Amino acid sequence: MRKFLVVLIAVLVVVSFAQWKPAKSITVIVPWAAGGSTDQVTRMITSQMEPLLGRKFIIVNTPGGAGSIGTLNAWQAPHDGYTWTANATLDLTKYAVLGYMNVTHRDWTYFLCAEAPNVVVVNPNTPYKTIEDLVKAMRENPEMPLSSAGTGSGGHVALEIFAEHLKLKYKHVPYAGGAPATTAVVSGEVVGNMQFIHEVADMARAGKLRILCTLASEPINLQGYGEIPSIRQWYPDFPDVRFHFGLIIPKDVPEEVLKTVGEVFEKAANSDVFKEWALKQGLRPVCYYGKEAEEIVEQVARRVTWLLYDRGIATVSPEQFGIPRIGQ
Amino acid sequence: MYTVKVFFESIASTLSNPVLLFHLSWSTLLGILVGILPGLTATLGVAILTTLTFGFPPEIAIPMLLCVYIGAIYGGSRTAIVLNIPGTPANAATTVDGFPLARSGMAGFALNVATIMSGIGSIVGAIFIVSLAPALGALALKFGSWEFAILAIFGTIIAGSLTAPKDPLKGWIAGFLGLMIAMIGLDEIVSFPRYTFGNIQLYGGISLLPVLVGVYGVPEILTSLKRVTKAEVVLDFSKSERKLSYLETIKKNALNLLRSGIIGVFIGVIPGVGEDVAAWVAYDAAKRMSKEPEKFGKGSIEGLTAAETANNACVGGAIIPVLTLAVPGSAPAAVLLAAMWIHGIKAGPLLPIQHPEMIGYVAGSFVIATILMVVFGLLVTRLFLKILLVPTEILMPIIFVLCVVGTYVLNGRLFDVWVMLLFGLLGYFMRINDFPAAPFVLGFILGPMADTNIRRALMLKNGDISPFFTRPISLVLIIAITLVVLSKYLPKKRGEKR
Amino acid sequence: MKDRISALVFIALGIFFLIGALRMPRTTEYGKYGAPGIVPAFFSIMVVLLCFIMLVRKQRSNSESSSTPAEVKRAENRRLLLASAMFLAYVFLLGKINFIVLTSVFLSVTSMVFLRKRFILTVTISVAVTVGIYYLFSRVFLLPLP
Repeated sequence: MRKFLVVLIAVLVVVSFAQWKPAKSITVIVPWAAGGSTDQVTRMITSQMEPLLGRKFIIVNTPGGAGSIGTLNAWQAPHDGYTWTANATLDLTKYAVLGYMNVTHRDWTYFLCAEAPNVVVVNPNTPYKTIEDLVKAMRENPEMPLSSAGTGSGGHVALEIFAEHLKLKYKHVPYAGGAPATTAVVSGEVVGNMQFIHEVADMARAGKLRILCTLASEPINLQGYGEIPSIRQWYPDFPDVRFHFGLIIPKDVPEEVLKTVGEVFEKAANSDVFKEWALKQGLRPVCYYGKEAEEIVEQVARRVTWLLYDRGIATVSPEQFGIPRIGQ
Repeated sequence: MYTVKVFFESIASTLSNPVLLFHLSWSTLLGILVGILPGLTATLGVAILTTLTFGFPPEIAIPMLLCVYIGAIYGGSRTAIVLNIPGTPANAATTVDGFPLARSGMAGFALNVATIMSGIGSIVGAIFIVSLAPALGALALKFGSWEFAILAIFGTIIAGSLTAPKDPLKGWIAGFLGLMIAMIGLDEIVSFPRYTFGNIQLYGGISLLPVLVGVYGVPEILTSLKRVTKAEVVLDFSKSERKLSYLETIKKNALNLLRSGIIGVFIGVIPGVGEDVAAWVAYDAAKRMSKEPEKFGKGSIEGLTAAETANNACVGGAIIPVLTLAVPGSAPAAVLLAAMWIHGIKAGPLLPIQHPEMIGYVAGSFVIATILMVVFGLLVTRLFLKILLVPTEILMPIIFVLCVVGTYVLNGRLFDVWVMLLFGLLGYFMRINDFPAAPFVLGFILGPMADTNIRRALMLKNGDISPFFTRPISLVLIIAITLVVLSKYLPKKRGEKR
Repeated sequence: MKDRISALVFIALGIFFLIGALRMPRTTEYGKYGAPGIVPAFFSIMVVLLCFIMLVRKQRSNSESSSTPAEVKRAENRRLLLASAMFLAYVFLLGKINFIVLTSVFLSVTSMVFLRKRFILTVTISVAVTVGIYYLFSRVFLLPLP
C-alpha cells in the first residue's frame, strides 16, 4: 500500500512538470558484467528514477571489448531516448583512440551521480608505510609488480598518471576485474594497486590491505577504517585524479528527453536512499549533468587519451578527433 | 563457528518467512519438472530461472536458484526409473538399476527410495559446505596465477578421463576442443580480437548459455525425434506397497550412503566435474564393495542408492569452489556463479571477508531446498510423471522452442540462437562419435581462466616456469594430472570398468 | 572408421586455430609473454596431437553400430534430416514473422510430421503452449521475445 502511494505521488509530481512522457520501458545497456561497479551504480540510480518517470528500466549487461561492444550497441540503437548506456567516464573516453569506434565522448551527454577516488594500497606484509616509502622502493626496483583491472581501466590509468608524474617505472600486471586485482594484492602475488576505493574498502577494513593514500586532492574518511590522507600531503602538485560513474545518452536525442531526464535525475541523485547507498560503498554521491558534466568528461578525455597514446597503448592519435593535450 | 551459527539462523528465518517459502516451493517444483523432462537439464533450469529472477533481491533469488538446481538433479531420477532415460545427465547411473526395479513392478518403491537417498545425499552436501568451505576459503587466498592456471587444466583432464572411462583419449580431445573454442573473442589481457574475423558480435566471445543449451539440449532433442522405436514408460505401481521398510533400507545402506555422499562431495569440488561423474564413480565403488555385486544392473537397491546419493551430494560439493574460488564445480554451478555476480555477490577468495554470512546462508538455503524436494518428491511427483505420457513428437519441439527462447532472452540477440544451433550440431556430431559433452563444456568454461592465468604467470616471472613446480599447491595438482593420465595407460589390475 | 573421420575433422579445426594463433601479434605492451597467441597455440597443438594419436592407434572394435538394421537406420536418418531442416527454418524465420504465428505453426507442423495422428489435438496443444510461453516471458517476466 505504501509503495502504491509513493508511486502515485511520484506519478502526479511527474505529470505536473515533465514534457517527455516515455511510452515504453527504457533500456540501459551496461557494457560491463553484472555485479561490477558500473552495474551497481546504474541499478541503484535507475531504481530511484523509475517511480519518477513512471516507466520500468530494463538493464541489459553486454560485457566485452573493455565496454566498447555495449556502448556501440547503444549508439546504433535509434536515438529516440529509449536506449541509454551507463559507464565510467574514463572508459567511455578511450574507445575512439583505442580504435574500437568512431564515436567520441563529445557525441554523448552525461548524468554523473557517483565519484570514485583511487587509493594506493599495498599488502600489509610489505615494509611500505607511506607513499614516500613506496616511491623510494619503486625508484630502486623498476620491475615492481602492481596490479589493475585491465589495460586502460581506472586503476591502470591511475598507475600511469602516478608513474608519469613521479617519473617511475613499474611492471603492470592486468587482471580480469577489480576483485581479482585486489585478491592478487592480498595473496602477495603483486605488491599493490591503485584501484577505486570501493573495490578495496572491505579488505582494508579487515586488515588484509594497507591504504597508503588517495590520489584525490582532499583526504577521505572511510567508514570503519579511518582517515586516508591525500597524496598532495607529500606531492603538492600531483594532478587531481577523479573519475565518475553515470548514465550516458546520445547527445542528439530529442531535446525534451534530456530536459526531463535531467530533472528526474537531479531528484534521484539527491535522494537519501541513493546518497546513503553511495557513501556505504565508499563512493561520493554527486550530481552533474548538462554542460557541467560534459566539461568534466572533456578534461578526463584530454588526460586519458594522450596518456594512452604516448604509452603506445592507443593506436589512433587523439589529434584525429581534435582532442588537445591538457594545458594546450 | 560463525558459519554454523548463520547456518541455523538462516534455516529458522526461512521457515518463518511465508513469501520466501512460497517462492522456494514453486522453484523446487519447477526444478523437479525440468529434471523430469528429458532434454531439459539442471543447467538449463538454473539458467532460465536466472533470467526470471533478475529483479529479485539476492536473499530470495540465490535460494531459488539452489532449489531449481537440487530439484532438477533429483527430478531426473523419476524419468530414469520409469522411462530408462536419464532426465538429466546426472541420472545416467540411476537408469541401470532404477529401470529394472520399475519393470519388476517396484516403481513406487524405487521412486521413494531415490527420493529419500537424494535427500540424505543433499544433507551430506550441506554439511560439507558448512565445514569445508571456510577452510577452503582460507586456502584460496594462497592461490596465485600459477595455481589457477593448473587448476583449469587439471579440471578439464580429470573430466576427460572420468566421463569417458572406456576411451579417455576422446574425453581429453573434447576437453581441449572446449578450451580452444573458448579462445574466441577479445582476450582479457591486451584486448586483441581473436578469431573474430571482424564480426563485432564475436568480440564479446561466445556466451556460455547458448553453448550449454546447444551441446546438452539439441542432441537430446534430435536423438529422441529420430528414434523410430518407442521408449517404454513403466508406471506400474502394482508391487509398490510391499512390506519392505524404508527405514530398513536406509540401515542396510548406511555405509553405502556415507561413502557415496563423500564421493559425491569431493567429485563436486573438482572444477567442472559434475553430478553425472559423481553418480558413476559412486555406483562403481558400491558395486565393487557390495556383497551381492551380481544384482547390479538387474535392480539393485544398493546401486540405486549410490547413484542418487552421490549426485545430490555432488551439488553441495560443486558449490564449495563457487563460493571460495569463483571456480564452478559443475556446469549448473557455473550458471549459479554468474547469477551471484548479477546479484552483486562477488564469490571468490574475498567472499568470506566481504560477506562472511554468505557461506552459512547458502548452506541453510540448501537444507530448506532439500526438505522441499523430499516433501514434494513424496507427494506430487507421480502426478508430474503423467507428462511423460505426452508423445515425444509433441514434447520435443516444445522443448526446442524453450531452448531457443531461453537463449534469446538472455542478451536479446538472435546471434546467440544461431550459436546455440551451431553448437547443438557440433554436440550431435560429438555424440554419435562417442565424444563426451561434459569435458567440452568444462573446457569452454575454464578456457579464459587458463588463458589469462598462464600468460600472467609467465609475465610475472619473465617467462620462468619454475614456480609451477616449486609452489606446493601447483606441484600437487601437476602430480595429480600426471597420475591420472598415466593410470589410464598402465596395465589394468581389474577388468574393464562398467 | 568413425574414429578416423572425427579425428581428421578435429585436426582440421585444430590447424585452423593454430594458424590463427600464429598470425596474432607476437609482442604487446606487456612484452612477449602477454602475446594473445600463446595459449590458443598451446590448446590447438594439444588438439592436433591428441587427434593424431587417435588417428594412428589400433582400431577399436565397434560393437554398437552393427546392432541396428540398415532399414531402421535409413528411416532414422530421414527423420534426423527432416528435424534439422525444420529447426533451421524456424530459427531462420525468427524475428521475420510474428512470434506467436511462427511458433504455433512450427510446433503444429513438426508434431504432425513426426506423429502423423491426432491432428486436432496437436494443433490445440501447439497454439496453447505458444501463447503460454509468450505470456510467461513477455508479460509475467517482462523479457523481450523475438
